[in-house]
Amino acid sequence: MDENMLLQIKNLHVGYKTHMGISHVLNGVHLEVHKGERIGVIGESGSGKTTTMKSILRILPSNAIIKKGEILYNGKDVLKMSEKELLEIRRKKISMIFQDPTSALNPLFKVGQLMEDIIKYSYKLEGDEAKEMALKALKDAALPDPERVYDSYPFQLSGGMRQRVCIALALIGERELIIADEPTTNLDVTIKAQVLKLLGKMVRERNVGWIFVSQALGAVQENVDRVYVLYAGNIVEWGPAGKVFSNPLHPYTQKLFECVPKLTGKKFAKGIRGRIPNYFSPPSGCRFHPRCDFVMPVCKKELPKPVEVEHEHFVACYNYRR
Amino acid sequence: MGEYILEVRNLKKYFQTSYGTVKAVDDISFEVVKGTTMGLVGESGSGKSTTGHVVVGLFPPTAGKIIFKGKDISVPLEKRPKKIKRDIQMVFQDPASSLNPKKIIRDIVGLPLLVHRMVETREELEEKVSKLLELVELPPEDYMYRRPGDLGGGEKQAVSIARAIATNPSFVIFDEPTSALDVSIQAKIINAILDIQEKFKLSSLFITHDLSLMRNISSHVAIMYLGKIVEIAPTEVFFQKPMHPYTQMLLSSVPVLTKEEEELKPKGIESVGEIGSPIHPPKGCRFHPRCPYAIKGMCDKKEPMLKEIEPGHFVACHLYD
Repeated sequence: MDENMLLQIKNLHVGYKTHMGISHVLNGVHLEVHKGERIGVIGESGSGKTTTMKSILRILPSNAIIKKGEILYNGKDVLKMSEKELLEIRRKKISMIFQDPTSALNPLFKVGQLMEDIIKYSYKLEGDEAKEMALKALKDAALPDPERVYDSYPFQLSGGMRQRVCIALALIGERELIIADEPTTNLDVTIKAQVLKLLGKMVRERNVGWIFVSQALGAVQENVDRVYVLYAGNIVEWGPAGKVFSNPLHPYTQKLFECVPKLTGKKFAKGIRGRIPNYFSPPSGCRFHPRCDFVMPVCKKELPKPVEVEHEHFVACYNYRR
Repeated sequence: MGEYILEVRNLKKYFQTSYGTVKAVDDISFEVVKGTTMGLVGESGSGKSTTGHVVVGLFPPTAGKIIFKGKDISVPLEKRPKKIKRDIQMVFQDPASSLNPKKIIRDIVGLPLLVHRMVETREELEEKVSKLLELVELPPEDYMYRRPGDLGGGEKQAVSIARAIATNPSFVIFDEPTSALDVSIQAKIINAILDIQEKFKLSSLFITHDLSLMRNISSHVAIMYLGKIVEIAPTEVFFQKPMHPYTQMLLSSVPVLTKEEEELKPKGIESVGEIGSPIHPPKGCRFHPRCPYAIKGMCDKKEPMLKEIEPGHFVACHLYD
């Protein structure tokens, strides 16, 4: 067991029960986060990013079924924990920042009240001590005039400020892992840059683990150490951010990168044909094969095993089989 | 320089609310040259969508003129000639809410054809609709009789585009047509738009918040901030020399993938502050509270006018006085 390992997801299979049958979303996801490491997870809508993240905290909707797999947090399997142990983790160890700060904050309570509740349950602090802690957290999140924010309802704040409040809430106390699920998708470009810079800085200063889930490839590249590429419930490629972004290996990753419009103009990719598969009857073998230009007969049969193409840079594709 | 297909002159659009008057668009002017695309870029609340809505005729302007093919069309929508309505079409941001969920695709795409009496028989309608669907790469036999609910976001947006070009317009307004889509789908839709623009020699107004996307599509760019245009330039010139501090801040905030892109980003400017209120916009230059170069006693007092700094490149900033 690696001393530095904070979170390890192994072969996770999660599906959802619906009136149309079972949708088999996650098809063997794996992910590792070391202490203080910044991880990026990229993938398009419907690829299973949020399902993976919610599995870590066990906050999946009630129709979700975890079929198999392990989620080891500090060596202990989250999937086998009691409700009491889970509460302890959610209150003190892992926190999550959601995409939409408006629906993440209860509109009936003032920001101060929301924060003090968390502080009360997590750290058993009340009154002035709790207020002091809350104000410090708001100040750390670079909110101008923390006193005013503390005394405001969420609707009285702008989108960017609300997301800062969520960041303050997520980083209160001594967390070990922050999961940010598309934290800037709903924000404007200039505000996005501010919020990301803040988040990146706070995570680095406090040396907490960070999983940054996003579709914004540029933002991921600028902020993480290692990156995982998720397609249709499978991790298709992972490795150090520098290597994955400069030398994408999987046909899906390559296409995805081409599709991002470039500030330099010029070439514009044709997009990827088809769309993300139907999870009720997902394609056999590699789930990308119906959209892939390099498909071989073997791709349809069995899920490819990962190959280490360069140091610590892995890809799950038959084209790299040796 | 070709002739202008659209000229917007001192356009204003105010909305009355219980909090006060929202000055969504406050005195802007720009032109679109025939056969080209003008990119209108700004963040939420900058008034870019309102501008599109006023041009297409969803609201009458509060003041100012919209001149289309030499004719003043800044009259209430009822008074706009039908011929002009047919000639200006729009593609909206959210394909899910801009298509009637109860109708089949044939009826959605065919509606403008019926309204403008461009088809007579049902066979003619089906034939035209299938041609339109082919243009946006949706096989008609598969899509004609389906409803929007059965389609993915990209396919829905393709249907919206087919509907917008049904009446053979010469001017189309695209209001963030891909901001709700994944990048791989976005690429497909943008390619469809580019093909159609070339094929039909369309002129268009492309509204977006994404500078990288804008670079790939438009020949000219106008940057909006709080109801004002702060900079206009041909796209190439714009990227070589972004002049307005807001433009520079916007550019420096774009997350990028490659080194070449990184080099395009202006150095030494960082995003600070937030967009002001359109009800009580800051005095003087509306950007001055966020501007690192603001001159006290100047920028907070006097409103800068758009000035031509080099041929075709207009900037509204006191730094270039």
